[in-house]
Amino acid sequence: MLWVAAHLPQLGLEIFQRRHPRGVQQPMVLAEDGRVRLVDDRAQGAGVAVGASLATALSIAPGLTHFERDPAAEAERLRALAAMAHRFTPTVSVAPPAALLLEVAGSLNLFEGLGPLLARLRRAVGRLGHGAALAAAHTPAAALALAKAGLQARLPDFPDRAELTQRACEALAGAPIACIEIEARSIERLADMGLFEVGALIRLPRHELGKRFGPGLVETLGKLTGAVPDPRVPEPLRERFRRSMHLLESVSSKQALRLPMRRLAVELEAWLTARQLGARALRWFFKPLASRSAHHSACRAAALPVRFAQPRSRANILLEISALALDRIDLPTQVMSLSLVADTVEPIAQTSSTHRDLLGEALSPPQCGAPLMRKAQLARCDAASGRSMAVSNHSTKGAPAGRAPMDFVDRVTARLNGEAVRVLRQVDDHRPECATAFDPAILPETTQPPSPRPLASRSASHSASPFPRPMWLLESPRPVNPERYRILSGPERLETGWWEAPAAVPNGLAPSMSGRDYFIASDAEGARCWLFKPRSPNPSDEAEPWYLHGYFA
Amino acid sequence: MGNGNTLRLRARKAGARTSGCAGLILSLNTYILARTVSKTSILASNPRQLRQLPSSAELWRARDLPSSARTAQSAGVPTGFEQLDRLLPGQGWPRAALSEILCDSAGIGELGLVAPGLARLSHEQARWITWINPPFVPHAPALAAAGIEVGKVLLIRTGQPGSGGQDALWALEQALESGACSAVLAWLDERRLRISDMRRLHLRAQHGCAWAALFRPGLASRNPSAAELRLRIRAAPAAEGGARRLLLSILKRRGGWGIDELPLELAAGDDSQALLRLWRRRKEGAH
Repeated sequence: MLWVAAHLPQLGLEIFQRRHPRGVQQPMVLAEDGRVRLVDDRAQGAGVAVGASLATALSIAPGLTHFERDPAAEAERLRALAAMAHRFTPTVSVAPPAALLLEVAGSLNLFEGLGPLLARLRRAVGRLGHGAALAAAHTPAAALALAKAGLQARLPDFPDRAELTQRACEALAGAPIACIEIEARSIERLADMGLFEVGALIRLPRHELGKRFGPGLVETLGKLTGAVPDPRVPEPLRERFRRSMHLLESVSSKQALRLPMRRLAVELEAWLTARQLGARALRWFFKPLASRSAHHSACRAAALPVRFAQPRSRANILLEISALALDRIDLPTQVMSLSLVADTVEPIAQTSSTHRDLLGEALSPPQCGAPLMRKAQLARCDAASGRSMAVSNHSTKGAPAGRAPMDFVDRVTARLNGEAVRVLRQVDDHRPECATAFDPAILPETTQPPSPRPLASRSASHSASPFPRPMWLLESPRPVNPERYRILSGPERLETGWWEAPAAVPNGLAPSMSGRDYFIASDAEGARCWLFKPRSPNPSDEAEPWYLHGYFA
Repeated sequence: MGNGNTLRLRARKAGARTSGCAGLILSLNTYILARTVSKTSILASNPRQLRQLPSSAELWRARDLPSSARTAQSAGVPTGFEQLDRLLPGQGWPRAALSEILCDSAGIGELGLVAPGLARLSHEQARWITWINPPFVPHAPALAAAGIEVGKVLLIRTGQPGSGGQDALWALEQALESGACSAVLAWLDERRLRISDMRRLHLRAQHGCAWAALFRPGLASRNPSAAELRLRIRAAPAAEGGARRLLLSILKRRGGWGIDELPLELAAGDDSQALLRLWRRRKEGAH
């Protein structure tokens, strides 16, 4: 067992810091029952000490901002951090008031040793806006005590059990007694006896210690050294991501919302990474201070759905695309709280960088650009200046660094609207207006091997009509005067969809329900047009107009 | 060193013409690399540097371009029209540049002109062929019949014309820059299009290795453009019984003068004669 403890000494203040839309600039203290519990660096520099009364602190540093301690928010935050820490190990538990415990023995290989793992953990916690003291030991209690004391056992990257126990005990010997979980009264009594460090306490005979201080202390010491089992309840994985943030100040501009949004997006990234998931659909909610007049749009809460063409997990891109979509909507004039919900998540596909075969060699990444192009670019730019070299490097990868092809689709979709970007699909339907379907964009497949048949003879569908079809189709047929056109060929009779309800046909076509006779004609400008004459149920009725339905462009 | 000497001579002449201000212009691709006056004048005053110039890759010489010294490096996308290929630098549509196709009315064959190139690109590359704000709906069966892979055709519609102009331009820039598109066909709002936009589009197209084809009305030929290739097409007078023809003028191309009214025969796909024959055959069969 190898336990890592992450102690967050400033947790109480950090939760307020991240709720401020711009970040608090003044010195801050956390108060509980009128006493200062925590001070930040600036307050400490001003001379405010932990334990002072709030009145004293305010008189020492007049610019002081103070927050009342919020234990519920701290616990909630710890659980959120635990969700992030699941990317390192499945066994994560919360040690209130301000620590996480991770059992990482099984993860060392994956993270290439304890040192790199701790470095990653520190970065991950830091990214969520917290400073952590980390320590590793053979028991959870020892790791916790070391982390609180700010000590660290000198451990190799892959410690064995004996070495771990020995080094941890050595480090623990120097830790102050206040770092272990015993009653405050006992700490005082031990100090009176001249015992300040854990090492001195452990060396004392347990039986006598138990008689004087009760069995609690003995059990604590047993847990510290590993003599007594110390089961920890692992934090369960939460299957839905839903985080809210109540801002300390209302925000009235979209620009100012970027920072709080970034914080939520970073949390989502941590949550997704821990599960190897990517988000396909998100929803942001922006709520005003109070909905006094719910009818007024400026006071109503706004929801912003964001969709992605592929599962995404990077905070930067989540945020960038959300910001583009944000420009499109109206927000409440004073946003007081925002929340982020991950509606649809999917296992993330292996990216080319993580794509390795059994022997650990990276497989060739899927090619986006054309092979021809790559060679041409490289050759052209070989001797060229540095700038054009950089350009060619970008383009030979198919997409510039950090801008995958789907980013483009997502970006355009976000800024325009959900329907703006579509991929065409041919539908097996003889009715021209039904033969094209518009699908959500998905990544085009890798290049198919060129067909031996010439392109011209390749008909895409077995049912392809031998009759020519125009490349342009009008959104809805336009009535025209047939005298302006010269008929070149026709007619070709097409049945309209009399078997379907009119609403099922897009664009509400079908002026006649009984069929159309299509003609190819040319107009005065030399354009080749596709005209049709609805077949009227009454043949003598000549008043039925002609329609223009497309162009052979 | 004949080249160097003539070059120096030219530089001197240029210098004299621009009254002392050294006007040696180096052209990288299409845009001019006369970075600063001071730099070029240093270059011009240093004979050794000047002598090395012809071997420098930054220097583009006009004689490199015509069809003789063609290598595979700058090969374009074959247009599917032999006469046109012969006239274009790279013997085809430029793969990473802005080109303009000017035509006044829809349906005269503007898509037929680009379709063979698009078909080739769609089979060659796993990238999108993006259509931005086309005036009508592209008809999938016809595209497929022309050999274009329909699944790679991405349609972007920017909606209301109110803010649509800027949105379309923005979407076009994104499409070009992303490198996710092998070709982008765009119909933009002419009123909002400025020359600086065109230049930016051209750079983006180079950056993203995309063939950007901008469809514009014929009036646009009055204004200068940063496009590498400008074509104007109009319908040829219909010949009875003959195939459909298009008159194509090259207004601007690299490495050559413009060309007037080159007749091109459009491929089938809208071949009414074939249809007629088929129709007759069926009729006869029925009798």
